[in-house]
Amino acid sequence: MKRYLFSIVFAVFAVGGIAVSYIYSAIDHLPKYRLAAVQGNPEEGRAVELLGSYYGSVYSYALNVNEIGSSYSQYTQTNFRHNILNTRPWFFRYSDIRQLVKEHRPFMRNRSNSNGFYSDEERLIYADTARTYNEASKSTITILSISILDKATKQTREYELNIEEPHNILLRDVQFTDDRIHLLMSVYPSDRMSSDSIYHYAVGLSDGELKSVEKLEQLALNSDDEHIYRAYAIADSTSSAPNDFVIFLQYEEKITSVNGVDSYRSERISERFYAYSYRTGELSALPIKSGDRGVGSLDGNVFAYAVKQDEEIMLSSYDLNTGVLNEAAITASDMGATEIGNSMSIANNRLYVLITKDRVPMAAVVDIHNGELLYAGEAVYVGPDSEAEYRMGRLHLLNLKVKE
Amino acid sequence: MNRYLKLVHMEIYRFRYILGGLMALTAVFQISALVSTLLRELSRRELLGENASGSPLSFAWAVASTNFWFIIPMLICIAVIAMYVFWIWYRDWVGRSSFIYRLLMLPTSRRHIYLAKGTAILLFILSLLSFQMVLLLVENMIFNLIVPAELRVESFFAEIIQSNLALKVLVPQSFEQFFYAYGLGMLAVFVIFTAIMLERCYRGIGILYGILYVGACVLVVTSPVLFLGLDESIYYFYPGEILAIASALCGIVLVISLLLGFRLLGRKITV
Repeated sequence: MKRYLFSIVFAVFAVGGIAVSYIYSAIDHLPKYRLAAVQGNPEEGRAVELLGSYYGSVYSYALNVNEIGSSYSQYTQTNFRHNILNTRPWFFRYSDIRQLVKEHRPFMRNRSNSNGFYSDEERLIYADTARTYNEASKSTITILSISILDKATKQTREYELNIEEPHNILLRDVQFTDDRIHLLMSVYPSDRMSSDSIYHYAVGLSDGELKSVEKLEQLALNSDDEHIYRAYAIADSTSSAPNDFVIFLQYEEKITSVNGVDSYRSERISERFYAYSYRTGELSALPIKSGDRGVGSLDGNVFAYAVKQDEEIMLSSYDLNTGVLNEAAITASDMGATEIGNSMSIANNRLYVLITKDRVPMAAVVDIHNGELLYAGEAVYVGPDSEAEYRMGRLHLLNLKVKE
Repeated sequence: MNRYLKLVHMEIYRFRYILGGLMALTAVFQISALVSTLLRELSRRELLGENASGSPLSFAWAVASTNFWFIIPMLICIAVIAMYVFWIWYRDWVGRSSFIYRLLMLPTSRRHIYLAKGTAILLFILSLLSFQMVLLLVENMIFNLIVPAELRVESFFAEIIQSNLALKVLVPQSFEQFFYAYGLGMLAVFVIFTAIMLERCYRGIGILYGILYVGACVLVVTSPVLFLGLDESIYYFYPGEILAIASALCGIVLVISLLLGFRLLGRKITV
């Protein structure tokens, strides 16, 4: 045994050293923080997460802070398994898409356009477009493909339609009402100095025939040498959820200078919200004033919009069925803060706001219907009080995320 | 089992001086770089007096400032271990009294020789990493001895690791990543061992077999990530399925490499 002592000690040192290092690394990790409720119901704060950095002595380290604690996931959770499972974030970041993949795995295979899904109790519809060159007509056409899964029988039907549109088409939303599949498409002219066009295609569910094509003329005003009109669609926040409406933010750009054929500088001179009903085909202007860096969200029949103006947030919520508009002006002091940050998000009928009180980062949750403060929480250091001031000085939280 | 452990002991014993040399080289490079950097910084601050930068010194800063001299010995260690993956076999064949005669005639299964060499390589790598961790503790003590308490601030362990370009790759913060990275490393070692067995069995043409075998294994292991559209918008497989395929292919390559290596060493090799 004595003869092998060197090798035994060597093996214990090799394996033990690594084990002790990882145990020590877990204990002596970067400082921990969490969101502590200051006002309101802590349950409301569960959905919010503040993002930023801890400034170390040499480098800064990205971290997320929430009610449970803080996570330096970029360093502690990055591994091959995590990297592979978290690919295609543009698709899998939506909770409804993840649920659809879980429930209808074979149907969801090979589908990648997150705007192309519609799901209700009876059926799951997927639509997508692909451009192709038609040898016969010597022109580029767009093929619109539609797949319908009957959830009860698990049977799938597929339709294909050719769209004679030479420009790029982007599918924005898919809905279903009155036995028709409604497809909202944006057409982008190759000449970027022309206005976008928005089309509403209606396809029969039972026969796959194109029933109607409507251009939303009011949104697609013709450009002239000085003005371009663009329209941005805001579909339901749950992209596959049934919704009779879609919201458009139409904006007018004034061209200030032109460089070459397609390159130009512009400034936005006016913006206006519209609601479009798939069922009636009616496009109506909304009495909501937009602004720079505003956030909007359509959740069922309620469209909510928030914009930071000077030292307050103007919050509007509009019921598309009843036409009732609720507005509220929220100041930093209403939320128990001294300053409103530059990050906001609307989800779950709540407005989530990054705020600060004497430079301490905070999160606030506000009811979108009446502007009532439901929760305010501040970032606190989890550790000895003697270190708190130094560690808080090194915490810089500049963004906010709502967990799905 | 007993004979396998004895063979592991033999392999460790044969490499002890090289390993000791590598550890000594690492310690000399890193400690001397650390001391000279700290002395230079302290004298600079002394010279500037009140005009010197007021930020306190941390061990993480010291490690970041000596990145080059920390990395050089680590690269030398990696290079030596990489070469020894080949030499651990070929040293038994070369020389006047070929050691391989005695090894192959031992009254034990020949696969124990193969596995003992693999185990030894793994222990060499882990021992160098462990030594580096111990060395960081020693260097932290030296840092505390040189830098006055009022001029220094404590560093977190994670900060120290992240401060060095090589350390953050060699000692990933996630233990799971450590497991994957070194698991793949050992898979590569066994693939190379089997390629060496092919060369030893078939000599001239065996070199070609070995190269083809390594190439095929690399292709098989990387194919799920390269060819299954992992990060593309149009894809067939879900990420979880790609992970399962990749894991299964790694397992298959490992099993084939071990079985082929055992078979070649047991039935084909002659001395």
